[in-house]
Amino acid sequence: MKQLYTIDDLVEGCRKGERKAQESLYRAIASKMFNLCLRYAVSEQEAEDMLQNGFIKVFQSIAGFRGEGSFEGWIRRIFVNTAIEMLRKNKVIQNTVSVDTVFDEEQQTFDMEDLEVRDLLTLIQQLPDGYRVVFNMYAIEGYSHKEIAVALEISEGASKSQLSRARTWLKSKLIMLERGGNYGSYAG
Amino acid sequence: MQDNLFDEAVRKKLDSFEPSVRADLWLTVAEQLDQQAVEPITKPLKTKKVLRWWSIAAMLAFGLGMGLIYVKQPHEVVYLSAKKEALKEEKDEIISSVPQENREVVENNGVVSTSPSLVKRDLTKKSSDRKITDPENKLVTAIESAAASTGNRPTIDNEVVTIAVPPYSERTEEKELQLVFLETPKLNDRGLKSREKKNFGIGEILNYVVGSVDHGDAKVLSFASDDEGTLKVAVDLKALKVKL
Repeated sequence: MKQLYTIDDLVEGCRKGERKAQESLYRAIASKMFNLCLRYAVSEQEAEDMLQNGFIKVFQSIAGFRGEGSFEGWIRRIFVNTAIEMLRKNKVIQNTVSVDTVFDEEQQTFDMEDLEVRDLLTLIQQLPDGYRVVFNMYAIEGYSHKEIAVALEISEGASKSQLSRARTWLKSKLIMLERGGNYGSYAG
Repeated sequence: MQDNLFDEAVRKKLDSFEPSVRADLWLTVAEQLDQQAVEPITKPLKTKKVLRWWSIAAMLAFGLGMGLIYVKQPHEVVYLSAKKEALKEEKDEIISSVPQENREVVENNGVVSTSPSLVKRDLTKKSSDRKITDPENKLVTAIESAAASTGNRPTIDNEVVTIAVPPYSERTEEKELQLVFLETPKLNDRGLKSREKKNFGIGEILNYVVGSVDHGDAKVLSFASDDEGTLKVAVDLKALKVKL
C-alpha cells in the first residue's frame, strides 16, 4: 500500500535527512522543476544538471524553511537562483544581443492553442541568454524588474529593455512558425 | 497581442507541460546527497574526537599532577631551629629506655666454642643462627628488635657484645661462657636526627598565621598535622558565627 505524506510530513522528514522523505518530495515536484530548468537552460543536459543542483540545495537548506509562504514557491526560488548561478558560472548572462540585431516586428496576433509546448520551449531556449533569463523571471515566475535587477546585478532599465526585446524576438519567431505552418514540428 | 496577454498565454502553455524526468536522475541526486552528507559530518567529528581525546588526556595529566602535589605536600617538613635543651632531653629519654641491669654481663647457656679466643657475633643475624639463647637477656632482644626494624628506629652499626671464652681448664660450671659488653654502643638514631629538625610542622605554621590574623582564642580555621604528616584543616563554625 502506498504511503501518503502531507507536505508537513515531507518537510519534517527532509529536515531530519530521511532519504525516503527526500525521495518522495523529489518524485512530487521533479517534473515541475524540470519544466522550470528547461526554460532557463539551453539544452536538456544543462536542465538536468540544474535539476540535480537545485534539489541538492533544497535538501541542504530545507532546515531554514520557516513555513512562511508556499513551500512550492520557496522551492521555485531556490531553483531560479540555482539556474542564475549556473548561467553566471558559464558566463551566459553577460552575453547580450546588440540593439542592431533586434528587429522590430509588426505587432500581430497569433493562435497559441495549436502551438506545441515543446516548440515553445525550444524557442525560449533559443532566446539570447540575457533575454531568456529576464523573460522567464518576469513573464513566467512573476519577479519584478527590481528583483531581477538585484538577482542579475543589472539595472532595472536593462531588465526592462531585455524583457521587451525578448518578447519581440519570441513573437517574431512564433509568427514565422505560424506562417510556415510548422507548429508541432519546429522543435524537430 | 499585448505584452501582458502574451506573457499569460506563454505561462499557461508552459504550466500545462509536465516533462518526464530521467528515471535514474534521483539516484544521482541521492548519491550526491550521500557524498555531501558524509563530508560535513565526518570532518568536524574527527576534530571533535581528537579534541575530546586530548582534552581528556590533558585533564587526566592535570588531575594526576595536582594529586601528586597534594599527596606530597603534607610530607614536606619545614625545618626550623629547635632549642638545644629540648633536643638533649629527647636524647636522654631514648638512651634511658635501654634496661640498666643488663648492661654489664649477661650469662649465656648456649653452645660453647672450643677456641679460647673471643668469638665475635653479628647481632643482626637471627637468634637461631647465633646459637645464643638467653631468655633473660633483654638487652640482646631489645637491640635485636631495634636492628631488625627499619625506618627511624635506632640501629647499631658496630658490634656491642662479644663472647668471652675462657681456656678449657679455667672453666667452671658457673662461669662457662661470658658475654662481655664492649664500649657503650653508639646509637645511629636516624629518627632522632629527623626529629631534631622536625619540631614545627606546616600545621603549626599555618595555625600561627591564622592565630595572628584572628587575634582571638577561637580560631575559625585551624590546621593540624598528625604523626604521618597528614595536614588536617578544621573549621570552627561556632567561631565563624561569632565573627559574623
